[in-house]
Amino acid sequence: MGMKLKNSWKLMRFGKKTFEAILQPHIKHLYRVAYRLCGNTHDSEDLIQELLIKLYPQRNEMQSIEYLRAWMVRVLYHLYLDIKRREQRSPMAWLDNDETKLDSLTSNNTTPEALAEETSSQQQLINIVNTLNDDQRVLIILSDIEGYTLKELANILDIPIGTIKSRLSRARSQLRILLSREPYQQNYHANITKG
Amino acid sequence: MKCQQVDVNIERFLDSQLPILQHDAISAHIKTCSTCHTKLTKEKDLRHALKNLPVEDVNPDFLKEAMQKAHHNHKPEQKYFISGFTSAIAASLVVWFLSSNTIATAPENSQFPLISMALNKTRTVQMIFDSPGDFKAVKFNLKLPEGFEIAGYPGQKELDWRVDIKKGSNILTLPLIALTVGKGDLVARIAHINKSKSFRLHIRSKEENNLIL
Repeated sequence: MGMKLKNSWKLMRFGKKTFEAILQPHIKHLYRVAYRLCGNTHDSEDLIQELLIKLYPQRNEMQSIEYLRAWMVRVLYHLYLDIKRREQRSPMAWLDNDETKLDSLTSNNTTPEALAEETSSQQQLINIVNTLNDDQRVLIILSDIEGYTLKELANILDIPIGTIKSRLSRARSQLRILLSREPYQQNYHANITKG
Repeated sequence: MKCQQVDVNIERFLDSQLPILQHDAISAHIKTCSTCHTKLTKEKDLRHALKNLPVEDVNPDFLKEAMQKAHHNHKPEQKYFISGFTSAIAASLVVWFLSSNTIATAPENSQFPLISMALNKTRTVQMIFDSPGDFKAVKFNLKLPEGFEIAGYPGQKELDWRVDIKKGSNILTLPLIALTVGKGDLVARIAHINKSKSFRLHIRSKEENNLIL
């Protein structure tokens, strides 16, 4: 399932590229994926920083990796999982924070101003995607948002294609269920109609 | 072709994973069935909306700095602070001891609160953050000075985690332990989207006999 090392002749022909030159065609895409996974600038930048530090020692080998972009997304994803695990092991807990994600989304406690800021259907869709469990969210992000194929997903996530298919189908079903709940359905479809 | 068959295969149809004959059969059915046509349109709309979800571009300054760090540092990078906090997550900080209910006050010539601790004894400190609204997945970062730890996390000088905070007071409980006699600053930082705010708390530890709160 791993990415193959290939085309080592390129190294001999073109010599060693700088790290920046290797990353340059891919970095915007990597940041996009990081941003989709993390949901905010700060965490995305942290994740990209960790990625660059991890990749730097492998800069020479990277020139020979087939499907380099997918390989780097795979590294990025595993770093993301590492960070999530570190955070989940934190001993700290906030008091009175027992709401489910969806409950917090449907809270009526927001001020009219705050509500107005968050009523865009795109933000709602992002919020709903974020209520999926981590496995489903990652599949929707990489497949339906970033457009990775099933084969690429299998490589990135280290999961057989058959499993990817069934999990992706479940993730999409769950997304539809969440979208069908009020008040998202009305706003979401209203936006589609406008578009 | 029945509507149920379209239902079952609608994802594979949109993913172009169906055999050509089956694909064509569904295409033909959809042209004559308004129910299935509506379902397909909704599914297409959803996928279109997902593909067009906004994402911000990478900051060139960050990228330059990140590349430099990668060059010069092969070890895991310490978290860094974002400067330029704005008021969106403006929060005030009050610190007090659970054990004494005494509000710690900033000493003269200092803008930060100060707490004193007995050596090798756990002292629970509560930090209250007043938030102007609800925020999801707020990043919390805690840096401890040398000689101090959080109970149960030996050797860890920095902790990161993410929480949802609610409008009003959010209370964070920290079981602190002083391992050596000394002093330093505990730095807590809240970050949300591209904004952050840091709080600094002076901590000092003394032998229990010499401790004056």
